[in-house]
Amino acid sequence: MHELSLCKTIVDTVLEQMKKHDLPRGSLLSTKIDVGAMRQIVYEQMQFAYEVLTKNTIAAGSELDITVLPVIIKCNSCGWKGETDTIMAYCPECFSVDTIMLQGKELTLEKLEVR
Amino acid sequence: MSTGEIKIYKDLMGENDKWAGNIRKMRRENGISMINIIGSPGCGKTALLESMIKKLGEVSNFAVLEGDVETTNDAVRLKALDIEVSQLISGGACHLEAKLVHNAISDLDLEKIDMVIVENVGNLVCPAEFDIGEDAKVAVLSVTEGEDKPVKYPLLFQEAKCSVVSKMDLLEHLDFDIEKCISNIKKVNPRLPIFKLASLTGEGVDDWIAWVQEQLENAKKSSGSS
Ligand SMILES: [Zn+2]
Repeated sequence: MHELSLCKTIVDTVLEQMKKHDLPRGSLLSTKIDVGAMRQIVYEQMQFAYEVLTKNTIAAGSELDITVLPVIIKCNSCGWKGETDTIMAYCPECFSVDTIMLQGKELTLEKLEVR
Repeated sequence: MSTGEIKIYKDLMGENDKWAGNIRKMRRENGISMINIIGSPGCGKTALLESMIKKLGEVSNFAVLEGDVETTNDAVRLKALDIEVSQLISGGACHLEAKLVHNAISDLDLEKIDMVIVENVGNLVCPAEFDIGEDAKVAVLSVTEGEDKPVKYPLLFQEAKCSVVSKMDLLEHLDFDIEKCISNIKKVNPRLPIFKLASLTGEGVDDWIAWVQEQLENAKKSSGSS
């Protein structure tokens, strides 16, 4: 359940930003986060934690909007670049293991949608 | 009613990674190596610790940070080896975070220590997500578990610097396909060194010890440099 501690960071930041921008209760519609597919996050648990942690705060009633970013690797041997299965570390084109992950481990709070 | 947005772009791991960075700095100044042992409850993490401390304890000083006591005897067993053991209370969390580890390391007598060994909370998911300022994560899997664990928990095996397949002495009694297990690990991380060993009988332990020694030497070499 590392979802809970991650969500704590999210909600703390959201509340901080709402205060900074003088946003009243009910003005936050959603909180958008990007999660790389390599991250082992249970989205339902994340949603649940968000709901629990925002309850009785000025962010109550807002939604957590999760965008999953697929894993993208680049092969240093043949130059192939593209989306890949999260468990495969090698190039699907030439089977080289000399690859680098360009995307897939993100975990960022992107923006707040407000009214 | 109009809607708008507030852009933030905050790395949610930022705070943790900052503490992990502080740990690395503190270790580099003192030439201390650090390994983070991750595996399911009962996979033999404590036995692994014991075997390395018994072999290397004469020449190197170890400090153990316990995030997961498998049985109440574990802490006693480690204490018996005459090394410093700190219990980390993660407050029911499923993993250790860098800030907690940083506080525990700050309390140690750093001038006397060569290696910090962290025995992480017993699961394969959450500890893999968090950088705690270690040199290497060690993924431990015993032959009493499933061969498919590496593909079920790929992040751990990707983040790890080496993998240990433990309790090899039990292999003959079990329906565990070791070749399949190794090929699953390689599927996820083709370059990962794999040590097949049995702490109880000592089988394969020497290769593991050699790897640990390498970590100790690397930390000494890069000591003081930034
Ligand atoms: Zn390729």
